[in-house]
Amino acid sequence: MASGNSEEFIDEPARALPVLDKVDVLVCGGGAAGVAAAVSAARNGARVLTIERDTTLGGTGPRSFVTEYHQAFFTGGIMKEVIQRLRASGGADPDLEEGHFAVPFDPEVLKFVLWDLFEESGAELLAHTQVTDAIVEDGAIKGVVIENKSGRQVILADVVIDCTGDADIAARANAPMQEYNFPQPMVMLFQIGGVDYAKSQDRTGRAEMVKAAKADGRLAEDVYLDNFSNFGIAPSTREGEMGYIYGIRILRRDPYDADDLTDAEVRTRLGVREFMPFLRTVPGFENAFLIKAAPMIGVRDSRRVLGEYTLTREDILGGIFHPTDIFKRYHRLPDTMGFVRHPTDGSEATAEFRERLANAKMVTSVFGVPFGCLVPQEIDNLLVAGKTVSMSYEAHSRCRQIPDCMAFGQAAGTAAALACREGIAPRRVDIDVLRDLLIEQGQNLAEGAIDIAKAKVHHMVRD
Amino acid sequence: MTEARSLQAADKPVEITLPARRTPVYRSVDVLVCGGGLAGVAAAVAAARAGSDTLLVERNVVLGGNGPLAFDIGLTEGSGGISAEIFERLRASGNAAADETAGGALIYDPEALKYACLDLVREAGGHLLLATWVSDPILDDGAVRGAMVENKSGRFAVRAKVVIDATGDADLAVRAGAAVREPGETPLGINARVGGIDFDRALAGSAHWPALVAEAKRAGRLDPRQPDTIALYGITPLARERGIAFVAGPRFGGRQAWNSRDLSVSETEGRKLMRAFLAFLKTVPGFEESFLVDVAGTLALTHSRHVAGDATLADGAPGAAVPFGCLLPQGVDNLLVAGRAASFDPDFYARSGAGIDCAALGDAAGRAAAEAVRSGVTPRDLEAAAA
Repeated sequence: MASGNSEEFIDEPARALPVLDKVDVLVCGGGAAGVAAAVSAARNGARVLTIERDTTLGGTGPRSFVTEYHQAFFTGGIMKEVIQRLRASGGADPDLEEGHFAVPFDPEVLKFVLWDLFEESGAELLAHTQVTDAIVEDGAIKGVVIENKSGRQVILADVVIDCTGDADIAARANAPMQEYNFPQPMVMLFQIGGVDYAKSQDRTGRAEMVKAAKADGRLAEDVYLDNFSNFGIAPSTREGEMGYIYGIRILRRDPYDADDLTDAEVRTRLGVREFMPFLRTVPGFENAFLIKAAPMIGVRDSRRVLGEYTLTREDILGGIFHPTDIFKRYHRLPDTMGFVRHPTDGSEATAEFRERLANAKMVTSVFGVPFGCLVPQEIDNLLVAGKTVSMSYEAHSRCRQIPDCMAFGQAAGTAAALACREGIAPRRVDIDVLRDLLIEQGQNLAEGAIDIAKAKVHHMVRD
Repeated sequence: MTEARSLQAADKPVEITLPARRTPVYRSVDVLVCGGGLAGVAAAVAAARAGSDTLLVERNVVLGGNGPLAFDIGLTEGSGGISAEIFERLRASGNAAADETAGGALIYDPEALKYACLDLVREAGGHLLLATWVSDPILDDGAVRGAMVENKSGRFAVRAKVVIDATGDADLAVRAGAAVREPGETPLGINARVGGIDFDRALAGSAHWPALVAEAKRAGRLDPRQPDTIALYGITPLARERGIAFVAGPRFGGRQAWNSRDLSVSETEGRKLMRAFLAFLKTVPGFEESFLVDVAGTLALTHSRHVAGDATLADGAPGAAVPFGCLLPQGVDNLLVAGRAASFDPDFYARSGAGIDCAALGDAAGRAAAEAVRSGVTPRDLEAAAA
């Protein structure tokens, strides 16, 4: 950690730890990728345990208030099931046109929906538990070390799926990682009540109000975007006059550095408090009150493994398919030519960036993500799912969203179950068998599964 | 849920031996406080104000602990010191108000307490390390000299002259070998925040709530473990204006706050039952338009295990003086236990634990820790000197 004040070490002797459990597939992390991985592995016959440090499933959606799925309608499989269940249970708009760019959802309903899926699959959950280390023997992962109220223990598994969001397990196992600089900004959304939704839709002059507040010191913290928006509003959120506000972010913090994470959490939360009096000067928000800042900061980007395949910008913009693809991705974003939509240095506010974005050619493509992106080099019996799979920096910025994470998770879980069934390492799974299973279980790999004519071309632009 | 199947892993070894390792030291501080609930926050503030280099480690990313996370939002005036300061900050900022349903007892806005705690620690100059689990104590001949911590950065040691266990469950004390008194069970519950309530109509019918709940239970629409009535709380003038209040969900007996399986199972079971309860709630007059704002971030606990200290509070009225020896676990030096896991008789605590001021215990522990550091003695020596 960066700001520690010591260069000393403490020698800890060898020690015996109790083995809590031994399972076929151990899923580390209960976010979108972890849920999909666990559900898929369990449905395909594996005994599955998922470890989650928090109390509920869902990760970034419900805990960081990233309350809408983007370009999710073309992602099949479990993502599709989640959207169907959300729409059937009041968690998302049942009348939303298929192909719409965004599917806003109610994060509380999502937690219920994910739990149902999880429980029905037969997967088990150990919540309130932190995964702390990987046990590796002869180049293969054997299990992990955990910490919880019951103490320091070991869980053994035939296959471990790293869905920690920061490739924590892969890092502890010393798996090779992608080159990494500083990540895209972390975001702190917050939940408010008292929103006049109709009135708040008129965003005229909002950016100028934020700038004026920054100029006269009402917004003093250095964490505000030049504009803000009411993110992902499901019908239930609107009827409850609630909102999730996106407009606070912090630059140049590493999400896997505990000091950086502490600082990011504290500064952005203080930013939320400072923002509230300003927000009440904005039309539609005059009566807004803070319900809560997100239970955890939103992390767009973190370290990524070096896998058997690394997805690149050329794969995405060129619409490349591979014989080993585990899902297909519909993509429509401006070609920013080497820089990402949420730059590390916060330069999205500069005139240069805006001009570049305005002039960027919009690119529509459908591309495939190969299984090798989920398979770390050198370490066996380990798969990675979520935003930490093997992608280049720019590819990642285009293929890191929640629907992507669910598709990675579904493929990893299915592959893990196959590996257990065959008694082989996941990297040796028969790719055709895996792909057939994924198609059978709803993933969009079949010919013609994505009809881009259905895509709603209009897409939301956020400042 | 998981118990029976977990025992089926026939070829599971009993234990695994991990090799020796070198663990880097993250910091060397005067006072390490483990746990950022009210006890831990008060301890860190008191120690830092008294001049100690203080590090507060919290597994979550917000301070304030069980109150704001579990919606256990009753507010007592505080017996002085930091406890009274927290109260005053909430009151002065308009975030404390009388709850109609609790006979005028004060409650606070959960988000406001998180900020009050954060402000106090920062103003006092305490260091924070969030999203970090406290693992094993660093032990030297029966004395605690720090603790191992685990977070996204890895496993690290924190050296400290005095350590305060404010984990709520005496987690560090137990790992240091302290004796504990375990109650047979520690009921675990779950609460939620609900909006869209028409309070006038709802409260006018409150006399009928037990009958409505009983009928729903008979009809199988509500689980028998649900409360016997609509346990609505947090009704203040502001709550009425916003239509938002809190409901208490089921309480599970036979579980233990320090058992991770129990916690895990209760979290999921509690949330499922809460969901069914909220559907029922919409059939009750005044709640037809109600909606879920959020289920509490974590379980509500009434109490947990307690260390066996140099002194034990076994009886006394709420607000009674707590001897310093209640913070000193027997058989372990350099460690103070603050908060609900201090040395109370479990039966006594189960009866009147709500009257224990955790912030006051933390305040005392933090002052004592700083004094011990300044004098170069152990906290237990302070007690001996005072006697």
